[in-house]
Amino acid sequence: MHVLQSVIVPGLAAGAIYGLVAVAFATLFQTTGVINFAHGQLVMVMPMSILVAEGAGLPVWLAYLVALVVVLVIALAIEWAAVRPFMQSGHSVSWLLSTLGVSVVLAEILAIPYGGEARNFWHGVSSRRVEIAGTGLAVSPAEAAAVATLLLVGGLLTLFYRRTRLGLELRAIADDLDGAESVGISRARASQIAMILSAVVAAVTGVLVASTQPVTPSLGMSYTFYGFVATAMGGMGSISGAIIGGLIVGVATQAAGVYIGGLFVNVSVFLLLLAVYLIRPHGFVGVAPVRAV
Amino acid sequence: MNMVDLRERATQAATAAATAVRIRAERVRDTLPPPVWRLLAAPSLHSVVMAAIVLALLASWGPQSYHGYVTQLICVYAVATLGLNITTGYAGALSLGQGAAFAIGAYVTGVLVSTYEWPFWLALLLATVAGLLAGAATGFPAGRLGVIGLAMMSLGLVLVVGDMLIQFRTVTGGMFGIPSITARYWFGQDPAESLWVVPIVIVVVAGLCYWLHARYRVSRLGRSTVAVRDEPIGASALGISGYLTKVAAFAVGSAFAALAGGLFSLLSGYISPDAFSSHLSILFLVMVVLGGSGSRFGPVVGAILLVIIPLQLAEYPHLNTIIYGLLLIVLMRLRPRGLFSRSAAPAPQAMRPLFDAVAAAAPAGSAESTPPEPGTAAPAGPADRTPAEPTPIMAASAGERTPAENEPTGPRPRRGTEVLRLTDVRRSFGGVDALAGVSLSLARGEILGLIGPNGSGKTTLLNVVCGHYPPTAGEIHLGGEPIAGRRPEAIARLGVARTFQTPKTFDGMSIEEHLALATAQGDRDPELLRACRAGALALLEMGGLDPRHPASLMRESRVMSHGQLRFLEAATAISTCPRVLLLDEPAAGLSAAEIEGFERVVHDVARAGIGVIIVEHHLEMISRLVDRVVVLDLGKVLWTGPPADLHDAESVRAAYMGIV
Repeated sequence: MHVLQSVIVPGLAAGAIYGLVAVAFATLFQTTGVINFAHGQLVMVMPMSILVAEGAGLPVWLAYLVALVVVLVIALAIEWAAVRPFMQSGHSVSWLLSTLGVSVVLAEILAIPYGGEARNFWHGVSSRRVEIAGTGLAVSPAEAAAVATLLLVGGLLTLFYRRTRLGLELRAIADDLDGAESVGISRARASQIAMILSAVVAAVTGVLVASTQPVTPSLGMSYTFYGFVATAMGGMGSISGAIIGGLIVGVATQAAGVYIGGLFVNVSVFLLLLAVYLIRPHGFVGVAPVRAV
Repeated sequence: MNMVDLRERATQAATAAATAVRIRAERVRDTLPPPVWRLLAAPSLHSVVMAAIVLALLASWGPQSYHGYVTQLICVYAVATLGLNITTGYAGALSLGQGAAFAIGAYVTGVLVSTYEWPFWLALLLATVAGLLAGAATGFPAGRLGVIGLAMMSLGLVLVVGDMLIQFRTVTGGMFGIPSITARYWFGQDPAESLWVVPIVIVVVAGLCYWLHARYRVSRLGRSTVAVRDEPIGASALGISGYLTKVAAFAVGSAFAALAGGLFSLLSGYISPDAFSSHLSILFLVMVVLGGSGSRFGPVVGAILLVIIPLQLAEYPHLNTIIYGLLLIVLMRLRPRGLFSRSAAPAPQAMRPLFDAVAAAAPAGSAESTPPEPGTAAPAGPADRTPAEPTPIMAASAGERTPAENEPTGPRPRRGTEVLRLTDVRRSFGGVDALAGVSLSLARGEILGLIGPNGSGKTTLLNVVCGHYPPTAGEIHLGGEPIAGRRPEAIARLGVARTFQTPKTFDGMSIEEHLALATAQGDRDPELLRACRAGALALLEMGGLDPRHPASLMRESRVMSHGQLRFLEAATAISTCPRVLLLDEPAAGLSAAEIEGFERVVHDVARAGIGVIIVEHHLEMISRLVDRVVVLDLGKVLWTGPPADLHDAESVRAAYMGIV
């Protein structure tokens, strides 16, 4: 029971956040072949913007709306400057560096409002734990919401890609950019839609992150890293893989934090990544590509 | 729309300006005799000159002055950046973890010098070794990964090292760091009194590192590293294995960074974890990318610019970081290869054996191996100054053709000994049998034509022989030795060379470097060696690549046309002096004259004893050149026979030409 309470429950909640980051990676990667290294920062933009807007005297609901618009505008700017030019180009160095550049810029801009200090966020889901009758387990609404959101987002996206025409178009682009363009699918529109989807996921993730811990701009890079490890575990571009990977990373970090010490969280994630690459370089769900000569 | 226009115009302007500068520089270079500009381009000379300039500057400002400090900081960062250029520029492995190795080096040096009172030189040496080990440790698992995996592994390393610096506070001093890091010459001695010790160490080490970094690029290892970066499959076909080049680049790059970290702790006298955030790694990366990753000067220029510019902007605290982030985005859009975009390096020794082979053949009176000489010696002169002019090249290839017409292609003695045998080789992809049991054998000196409709398994057959795809079943013997299932590098080293349907040449390397990569393996028959080298030289001349003019040999292959790349690739493959040469549609996209020249070379090297398999749709070429034709259909051998009988075979007509 103790392990459940101290490791599994908070681990799954944290893992849900990493899973959401990984799902957003997969969404963008599937269509554009780009992993947005600025995604962690984009996640932090949402709560920071809410705080700033609310600090400027806006009512909370309006602050949410303004923040969402800010996230979307920034996301589209990223898409234009750092994603679309390198869409399905195979030159990973180019997009890696350009989205890394975006990440540096965003992190610095986020550090301006409160001098990079942590701020408490009161406008999210409650993080007070409630005991679930008969089990002796205490779970906070924020933790439950994180896991529920992950499953919901994953399910919706899977349906979207399988059942809707738009979803199919986004996947067609991923398979063959030139072919898809020749049957009238716009590359710009596809990449924008993929970016908007991942930005909406980022906005939701941001609110969930801020509900469980103080808002610190420098968290962005860690989320990018943890989310990426989740992606690597699941396999690039796989949504179910991202969900599973995220939850595993979450539980592993929580276990490392509880049993070894807070400074070993990054070490545990690093070792996890190392293990994945040594054992299954293409993830647990992903498939090794056929080597083309 | 407007933005797009603007962007395009900016890109064009930048490219045009860079090209103008390059052309002017090349013109100046062309007025100097080759030995002079080879000397001027020598990295040892650059190191000495740069170190002298920096020392002079330091002397005029004083080592303790603000400017003196900035100059030394530039040198320290330049060392780390040069190291990163080996990892990222040469090997193409994007490292976000250069700051981690830098921190490791700084702390090893700091702890040894400050806590244990070690002499600084020994501490620096240990720091370098620590960096080397840390780099190898990350590189070993990561060497198998793509760009993204390596980037993330190295990013993880930065986070881990940052945490560990705080975790082991009894050694590292935790958040407080390590104070009073001073340089002493020997254990337990008092720190050196002279203010010049640290500055001189920094400048000398920086100069040495520049030289080492340039030497690494022209070493066999460095050249292989760049080849693997540009075209891993092409490199494996030349017998170069990719994995170790990546691990070595990672380890050496880390060693440089750790050494730089050690110098940094000596320079600042105090270190704490704040100095080594993940921003530092990104800063190093921007320095390399801005300067031009893979170039020789780029990293130095990047380090200079990105130390000085932020200092100028120091009064606006956030602007600094925002600017280098933006710089990264803009660079990737407008000038992804940085300010100094040249990544080819000289390899003057590569051409000598080729010329020697031709010269040695000339007095012997063997007309076949020398025909390029009379044809090109004259046109090569005017072609020197204006390589873009098409006329001399045309003249060269026309002159080339004459002896071929005058001289009937004599019968080739069939040596008879078998060099390659395939026994019931199968290869399936999923449910598709690309090869459904192919058996054939190839003799020394034989030219075998492999034809068949698209999808009949011709290229798959070549890929299976080369080891790019292991066969699903069956045996392949090269000179009696089983090679099925071996790695492509190993098979290439046993003497199998090939060309690809689309040339797999190395974008960032010069012509002479391509030839330097392709050294002959083992002890080959000298006559064979000579024929191969003469053939390679003839191919270069035919391709208009002007092997007698050093400036033309130093052009990067990314600026060459498709036809030129085809000749370059074939010349590279032949100059490895293989036992078996596999040519995949060599005639595609070549003119009739070029095809004829190509045939002559293939004929010559086959007569010297190489077994050749040639996949081609050009049936006239097949009927002129080959001894035996094998027709593949649906992964099976449909027909085998002399080319003269090909048109009469009914089954072939049905399958291949669609007429019965």
